[in-house]
Amino acid sequence: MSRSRENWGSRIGLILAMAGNAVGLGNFLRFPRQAALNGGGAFMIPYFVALLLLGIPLMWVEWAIGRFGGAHGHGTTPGMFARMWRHPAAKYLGALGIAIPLSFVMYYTYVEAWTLAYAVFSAIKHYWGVDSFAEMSRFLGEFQGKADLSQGFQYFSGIGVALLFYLVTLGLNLFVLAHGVAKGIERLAKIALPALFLFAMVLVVRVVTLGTPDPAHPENSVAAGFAYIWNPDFSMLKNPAVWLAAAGQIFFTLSIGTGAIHTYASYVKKDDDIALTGLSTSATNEFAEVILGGSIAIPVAVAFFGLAETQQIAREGSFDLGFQAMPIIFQKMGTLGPLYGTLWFALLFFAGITSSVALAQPVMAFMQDEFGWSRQKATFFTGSLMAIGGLSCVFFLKHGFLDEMDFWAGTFGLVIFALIETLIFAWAFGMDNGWKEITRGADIKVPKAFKFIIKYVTPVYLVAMLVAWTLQDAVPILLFTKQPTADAPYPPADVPYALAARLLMVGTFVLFAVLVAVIWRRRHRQEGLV
Amino acid sequence: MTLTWAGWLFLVTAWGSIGGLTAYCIWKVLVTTEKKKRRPDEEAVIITP
Repeated sequence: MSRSRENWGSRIGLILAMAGNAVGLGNFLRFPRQAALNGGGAFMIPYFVALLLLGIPLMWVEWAIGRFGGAHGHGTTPGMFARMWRHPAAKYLGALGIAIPLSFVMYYTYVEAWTLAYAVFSAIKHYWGVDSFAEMSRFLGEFQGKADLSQGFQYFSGIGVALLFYLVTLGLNLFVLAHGVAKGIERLAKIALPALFLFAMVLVVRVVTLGTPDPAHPENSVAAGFAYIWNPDFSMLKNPAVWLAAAGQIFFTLSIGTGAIHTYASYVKKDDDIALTGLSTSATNEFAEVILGGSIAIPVAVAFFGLAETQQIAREGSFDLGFQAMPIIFQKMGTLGPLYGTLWFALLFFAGITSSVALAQPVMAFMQDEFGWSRQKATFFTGSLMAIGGLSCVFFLKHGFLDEMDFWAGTFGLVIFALIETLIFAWAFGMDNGWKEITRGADIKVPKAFKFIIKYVTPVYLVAMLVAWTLQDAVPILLFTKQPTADAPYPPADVPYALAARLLMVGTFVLFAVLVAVIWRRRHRQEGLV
Repeated sequence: MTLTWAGWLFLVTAWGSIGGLTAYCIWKVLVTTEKKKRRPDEEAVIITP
């Protein structure tokens, strides 16, 4: 605890690293699909409401908790919560802030590996000639090990290539983590974020200048794609599911409730601004999502496939849009198609890796800050845990292992953790203390309305989300009557794998709860000796 | 299908507010960072007779 902690090298580096944490695959794949399916332009009403009442307040809460904890030598939520709420349970609730991001990053790294693989496939034209949805689905299925190979294979003989890309991706993540905050994460963000924005802008310019690719079908145009995303359908606003979808999107896009923001903010000096810096990262993320993310995948899909087919693709899921529709489109984009394909998947990879290192950093920080481990030892430990979950996802993907983790750790867990942290911050620590933390050293005047919003509105919003998701998804999924990605019961053969995924997540939490108990007991003993 | 006036309104409002907020934040970060950097120099000027 008396060890000196790392700090960010520069404010720009901090903003880029935080924005890198927030900007993820969801900005480019999930947002345009959500907007198109949930009322088009009208979706932006609940989206902005959620941004103002959930996203920005929670962002400030997490930054404030993180900087407060960092000033006391804690880089993770067990120590932070214990400092804010003098209750024996606080530190164990804080263990969720390590277990959730770790469970999240276990499977996220594998998804990130797909983007790296497809960037390479695009560059070497590996999927060129695979030009129908059925064939592209087969290509993806064989790559991921989901396809039935009993009748032979067409593109991949097994899971080997996916495994190789997973190991490379895991290695790259650990390489960055092993170099620390300023020389690893910050340096990565300074390269990856500008590159990501550059690639996205090149793609946006290409998409908006496409016009009508097939003159025989003038109705299939980029303009029609923008109309699909932006023409408002106000009747959708009466549907509570649309409001829930918007709130969920704000959660995913800002990476709230993961524990990662706390850890990054813990490396900020105690009197440095967090209000403007936090707002800047939110704004950068929104720029990437609404302006860039909304202008690539859906508009280009409508231009090449038409509205009806794009609606069908959007209903199928974000990955169908990213990994099946887009590779077909790149083949239709002429000689520069491989370049656009590489840029698209490389930008997704950069979005992914800047998020995954953020999700892994809480474990690193916990072992370094609380146990005094070296960075190398902490990297080895973090990498081993990531590999256990990641390899399970690689080998058991077809049995729904990844989907199970995505629902509990990457969706439901975030809302639970966000509610816990809001209650500790606003009610146990006290809103007056909390407000002082948010505004100390602030380079902007934070509107006082947010004091009321954080104390009353945000918790109520979170409880409403939690109740709705519990009834709509969590209970049926828990009881195996509904799958995380399909409105159908679990196939009996997949139930053991779902149970194994749940056991892994619970085991992760128990491991860190035990480690918290060990270190607190050790500390008490040392204090007693003094 | 083309963008209706309402579609344009939503697009321009969303892009404008997010683009405006991002530009404001970048400007403010640059200004405040620069101010904090300059402070020691300004003091030095005051001390010099």
